[in-house]
Amino acid sequence: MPKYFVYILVVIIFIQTIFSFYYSSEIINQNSQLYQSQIEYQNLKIENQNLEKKFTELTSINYLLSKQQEKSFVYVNQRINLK
Amino acid sequence: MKIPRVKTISITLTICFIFIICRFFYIQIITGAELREKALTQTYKLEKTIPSRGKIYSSDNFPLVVNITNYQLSIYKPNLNQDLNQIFTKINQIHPQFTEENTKLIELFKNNSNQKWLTFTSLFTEEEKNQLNIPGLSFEKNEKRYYPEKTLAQPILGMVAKNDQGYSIGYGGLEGYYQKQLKGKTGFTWSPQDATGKAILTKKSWNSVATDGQNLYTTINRSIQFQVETELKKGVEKYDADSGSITIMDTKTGGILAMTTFTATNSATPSATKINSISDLFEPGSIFKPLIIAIGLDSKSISPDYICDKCDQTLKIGDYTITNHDNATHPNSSLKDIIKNSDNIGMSHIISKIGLEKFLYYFQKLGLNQKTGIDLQGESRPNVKTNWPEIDLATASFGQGIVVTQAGMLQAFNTIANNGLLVKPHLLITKNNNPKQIFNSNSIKEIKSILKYSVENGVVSVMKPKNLEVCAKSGTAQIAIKGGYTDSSTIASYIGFSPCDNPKFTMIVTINNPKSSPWGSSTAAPIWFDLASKIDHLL
Repeated sequence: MPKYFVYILVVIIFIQTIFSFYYSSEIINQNSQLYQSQIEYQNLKIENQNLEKKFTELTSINYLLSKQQEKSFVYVNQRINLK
Repeated sequence: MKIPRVKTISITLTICFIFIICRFFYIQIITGAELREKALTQTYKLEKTIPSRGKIYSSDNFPLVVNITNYQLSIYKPNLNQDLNQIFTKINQIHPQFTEENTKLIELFKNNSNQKWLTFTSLFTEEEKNQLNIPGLSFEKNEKRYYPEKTLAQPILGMVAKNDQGYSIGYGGLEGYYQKQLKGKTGFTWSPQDATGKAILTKKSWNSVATDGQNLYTTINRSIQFQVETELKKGVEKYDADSGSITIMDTKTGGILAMTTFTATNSATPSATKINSISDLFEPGSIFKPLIIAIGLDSKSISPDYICDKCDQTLKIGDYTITNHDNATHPNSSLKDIIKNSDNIGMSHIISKIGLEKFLYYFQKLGLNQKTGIDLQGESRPNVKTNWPEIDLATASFGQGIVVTQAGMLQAFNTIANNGLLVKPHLLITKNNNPKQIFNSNSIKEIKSILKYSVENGVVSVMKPKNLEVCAKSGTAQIAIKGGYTDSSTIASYIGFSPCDNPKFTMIVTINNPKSSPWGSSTAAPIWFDLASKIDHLL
């Protein structure tokens, strides 16, 4: 077998090994990024749900009535004269 | 004879080679399919994505039902690195009342050394879950329905519970009726997993995307619904009734603005998903009379200037005698007088002029023989008799001997308010409605003036708010028992619309078995007028 052929074979095997290492680490990185994004999305969804819950609670008729009874509710009775 | 060493080695190697080939054949060919399947289950993972259920909004775009994410706690004893009592104390500090809610479970779990695992029903928030990062404790995500307005419109909204397979199913009201639209589509991902069991998402091999459920935008007016629930509760208590129901619809579109039922605490236990307005059948009584007059006018069986010349005496049909509620007679009554005095004798004479055929024709056209098709789960179908002796036709003229649901009665009466057009009651804003012409405009004009006259000159005239124009009729129906009617209880109702010419709403109030007074004019009517004056400016 000619010597240069063996050298080429060794170089090819080396490049392939490096490439497969690089490629697999790239997959792991991308996968972990995707996984983190998914978790972040779920957390944002839950945060959004909690905010919606708080907002609806504070604007519900029941809440407004309870505040009215607590006498901490101040009626807006001033008008703007647009003339 | 000595076998040469080289020969021995080559024979051994050949045998080994043959053995390896046989083994490969066995693994790859004979058990190949089974092992391939095993390998796939170890390297591939099926992940399920549960969609969020659709929300339900009121007409002012306020969410009446939203979703919240909670977590269910599980404890696995072998993984704990702290004493169980210490852990429960810590949980109770973060989630007060935890030990109180689960006293029995905790005691059993602590004392039973064979029990390694326990899941609690208490629900934890995201914040609480993050604070309880203790080995041995794990949390399972759980999406639940949350009602910002608490019990407002509860039966209309329905409820959600999990079935045997763990899927959320809607029961009753809108949740039950629109289950398919609200539930969404579960997503699945079939992908390889890494050594830690996490899916390798970049190498996704099969994916079906999850779709969240559709949101429902309803015609329910939050403020009106609140007023209706408050007034009905007060009314049922004030008149010492068993229960009551109120339904209000938009006259033009048929959109339900409010619908509620209230059952007195000392009466039957109210069901969380039963809507009396669509499920309970009742004999409408005198609130049915305006429809008979409208049928008479529209079919030209009677003229607007009809005078009842036989109303000076009771009416005998076979063995039965038809009388008025006060046992009085009203000679030479006009249509206005017949409605004002709620004259059963006059009504019986009118229906005999209409005849059975025309009566049943209009009865069917008004949709009184079938379900209204309202988009709520649990609507009952009215039973229509096939045999109509003369006495039954006469009693039908004052709403006895026929049964309807409150929604069905409102749909039929609304045709008078809506200038002869029948619109189906519905809750979804986008629901298509094809109005059908039932009565001509001249008949409607006449019946509206009769109703207005009866409100302004009848017993309810003192209750009517001065600034409100009302066309309405009261009714008091006896409750049917086996073979007759009971004298001890009635169904009192009041039905009408306001204003008369271009109505904004049509409302029906039904009070079951009021003990303070049996009459619709003195129980259901005051509630109707109170509500009408309160909701008039909200529309």
